[in-house]
Amino acid sequence: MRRSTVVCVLALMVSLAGAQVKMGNVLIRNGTLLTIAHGDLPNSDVLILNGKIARIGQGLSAPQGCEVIDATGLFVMPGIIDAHSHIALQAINESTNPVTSEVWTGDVIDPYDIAIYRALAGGVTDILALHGSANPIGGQSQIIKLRYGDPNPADFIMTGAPRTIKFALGENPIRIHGSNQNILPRTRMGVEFVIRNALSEAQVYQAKWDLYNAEKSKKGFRGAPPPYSKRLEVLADLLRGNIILNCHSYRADEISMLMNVCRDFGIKRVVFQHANEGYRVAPELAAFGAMASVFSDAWAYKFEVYYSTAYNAAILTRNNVITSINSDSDELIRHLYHEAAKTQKYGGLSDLEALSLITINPAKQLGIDNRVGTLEVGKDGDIAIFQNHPLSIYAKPMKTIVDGIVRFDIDKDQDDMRLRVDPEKDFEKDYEGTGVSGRGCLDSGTGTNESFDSQ
Amino acid sequence: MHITRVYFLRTILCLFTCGLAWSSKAQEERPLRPVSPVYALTNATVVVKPGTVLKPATVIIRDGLIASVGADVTIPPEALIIKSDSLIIYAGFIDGLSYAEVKREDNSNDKQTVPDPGNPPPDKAGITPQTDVRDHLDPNDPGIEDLRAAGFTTAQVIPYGGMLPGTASIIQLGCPLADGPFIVNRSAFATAFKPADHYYPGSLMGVMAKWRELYTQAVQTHAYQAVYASNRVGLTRPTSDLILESFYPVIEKKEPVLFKTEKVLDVQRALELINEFGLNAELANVQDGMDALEKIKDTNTPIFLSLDLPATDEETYDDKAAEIFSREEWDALAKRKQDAVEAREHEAAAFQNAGIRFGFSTSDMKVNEIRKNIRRMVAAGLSEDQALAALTTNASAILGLSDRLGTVEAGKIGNLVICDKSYFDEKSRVVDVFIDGRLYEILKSKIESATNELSGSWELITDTPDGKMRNMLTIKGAKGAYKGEVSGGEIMDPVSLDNITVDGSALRFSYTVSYEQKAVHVEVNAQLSGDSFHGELKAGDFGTFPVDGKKKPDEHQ
Repeated sequence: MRRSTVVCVLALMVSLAGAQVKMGNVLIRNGTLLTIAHGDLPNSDVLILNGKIARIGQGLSAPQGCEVIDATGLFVMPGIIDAHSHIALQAINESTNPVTSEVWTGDVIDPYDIAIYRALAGGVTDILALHGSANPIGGQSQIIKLRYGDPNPADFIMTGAPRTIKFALGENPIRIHGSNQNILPRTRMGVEFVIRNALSEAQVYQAKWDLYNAEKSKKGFRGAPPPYSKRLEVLADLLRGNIILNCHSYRADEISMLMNVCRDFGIKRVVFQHANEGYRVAPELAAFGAMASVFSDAWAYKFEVYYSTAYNAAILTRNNVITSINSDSDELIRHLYHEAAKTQKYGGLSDLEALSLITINPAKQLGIDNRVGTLEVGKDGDIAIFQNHPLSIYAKPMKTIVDGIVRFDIDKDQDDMRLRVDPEKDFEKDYEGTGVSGRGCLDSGTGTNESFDSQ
Repeated sequence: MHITRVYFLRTILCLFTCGLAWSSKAQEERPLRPVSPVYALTNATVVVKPGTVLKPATVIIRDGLIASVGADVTIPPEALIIKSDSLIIYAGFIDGLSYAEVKREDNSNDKQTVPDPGNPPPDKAGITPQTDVRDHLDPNDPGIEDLRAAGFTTAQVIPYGGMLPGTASIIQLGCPLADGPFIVNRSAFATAFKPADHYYPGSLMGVMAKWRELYTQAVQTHAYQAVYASNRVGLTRPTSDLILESFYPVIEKKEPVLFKTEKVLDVQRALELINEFGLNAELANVQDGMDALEKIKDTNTPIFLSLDLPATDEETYDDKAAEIFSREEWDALAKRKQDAVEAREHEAAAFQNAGIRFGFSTSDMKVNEIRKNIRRMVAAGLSEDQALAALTTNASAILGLSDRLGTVEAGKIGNLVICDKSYFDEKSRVVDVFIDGRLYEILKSKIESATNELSGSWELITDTPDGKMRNMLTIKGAKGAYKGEVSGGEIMDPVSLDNITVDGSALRFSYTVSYEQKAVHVEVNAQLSGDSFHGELKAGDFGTFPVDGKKKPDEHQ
């Protein structure tokens, strides 16, 4: 679909907005382009100027001083997008209250997390830095670009990307609030109640403010505004359709439950995270317009994750549910291309379908498909270059580019790629800290201010 | 008097057995406020301000102020003259953030559990902005002696607490509360990115959200108060909320927000809030600010850099380390760590070179490392003039005190630091400090306390013809105000010392025990050397015996 003019205008607006963030120029020459949008183009070039894909074709020339990458024999694909990650965050959960829509992961971005570099080394360029799954209604999350090397946390934010919020169903909120602290919710019934109750309160809150806003401009009005609640204001925004709902969920019954809740409150944009039993309600998900972001083959680590199958992603895809494969881990994020490839063995997905699971599909789920997810003129210059096809077992990421800047280059990879070193830590502790830690929905972030103990 | 051997022994035993504490009535502890005399510090090298030195010059202090400074100053006849040849006089140093004199609340007995951790009472959440540090000060805090010994005379102090601990005050160190130590009563609204343990807000995200919500609510109620005040008829009366009201001086731009931010990501968060709400603010105790330097410069945010620096001790490559790292890896890691330490040492110089005006703060560090760390920063490129500016003129400018503090000029408050060499010389010592024109003799008290540290527990061994008597002598207090008691051995209840004096190395103390309804006065005269003394014990009419004292190691060292 030719939306290149619209895309170009959007690109211009975005580049003006993010003017203080570094943008790069690079010409990638003579690779096999896996465009996702327009099929595979052999022996072709991609020219990125000022952080945007300016031209795709053959025999392109680069302006003076532009970096040139020889991609002969290599595969060039859009940067991989992980729609469920907790890397680059100092804190993951505000787990002291069952409803915490007021908090925002964008406040705790950690640009120094070595996991960012390792994700780049796995071809990932953009992620959804999610709040954890401790609360039925968790915090707002933030789509970030992995601009490793830039020490300014605000620069990681993908300006113009839609707002998102995290909900969680099932065993996690029940255990953390009900079992551990003896407060609502203690059962799945309680989880549904907490969500419905909070959304109802948000409706009442919004009605009060609508009334006040209508009255206050009238002549002679003298009165007090309703008390301000950031929590309810965010939920009111969600009800207005301004925020995408990401819901951590496993079982078919709770997935159905949440679809009912969304229907009752008029919430249309919802992505179910994990959704291990999503295959059981695939037609219902498709009918609702809900999307799913799943593991390739992780299950049985909790009772609610028991009835699963490695065919989940394939079944969902065949039933027209927009599906992505995510990591929820600082280890899996390093080889999402292999995770996607598993759907070819379990489900027989085509190359295009499998690659879509980690490119255009997560882009659609995050509402950034106008910016990333395919190799098309006008989109962001977020590229991953592989030796061997990314779905091959022999795939090896060689360079990863974000906004036209090479953020990972295997030829320039040193042993110690940390941006900073804590001068007060001894080596062993520091070394331990650079290991792979899991970094899942209930783990701690990189900061030491996290008071929540990993469950 | 003829005393038989047995009688002798019994007597001695009894002298030490009597439990009656017949000490003279304890003097009431009421130190008199010294009449502030006029001082003339003559013939000194006076560093008026960084870059301006008068040599020789005389400084006259009167009524707590610097009366005059110059080469040809008339010395008033009533002045106490302190010959200051070869001494260097600076303006007293200003600490941008400290907990000096601040009492820490003891919450260890507070076992009340909170049923709903998501909605805790504000004090458990660390939300206590209405706390005024002036209600929590103890001028007898022994820690301030070390601060004065480092040259500090003034400090901005905040209460202990969580994310919103309360309001700050700028105080003269050690000034008794009755004399009004406050130069500025409410100097700032303190805040830190400190989540509450196990209560909301329990994470950094929660702290940021709560901060924004409280500020927005405060703006709202503040605006409504104005609406109500203009005509109260027919309007619901505004509810009073101490917490939100504490924000009003910030909203009205009467108090800046003081962000206590040691780490760079906290600095970034502070800058975000400052930008979002258009706050007047100061950053304090910044240890790790290099990556935010550009932003600080562009926004002209006032900043106090921490004087704390990481230690330079190196780790040894032992067998345990060899299990994890190769020698090569180890050396590479050591180099990176060393580079990080050097970067921190160089940070103040980097801020200087970027043209950013900064002060210094000392909260959260070992005060006895202050001078060493300043020397490390100077060695790494910070000029001595800039260091001095950070300690004096810059700090006073940031805190709005330039008209009263920071230089040695007539009319300014009498805060001075006097050293025997340049303050930045490793071997130099702070000799005296003046605060509000009152003299504190630093070097003298240091020498005395170092060589003859009397306070502590001593074992007293008296050598009698019938064997050694062992007792415990416990001394408390400081030079000029020692108190003590004798106990142990045959003494059942501790007996207070009548008096105890030290003159150089001459130690004398005495006490009275009761024996057979008679008071027996015991006097000890001894020569003190370090942690032992030797001398004579005279027990009333019973005779004089050799006595030894040996200091017991302090338990808490």
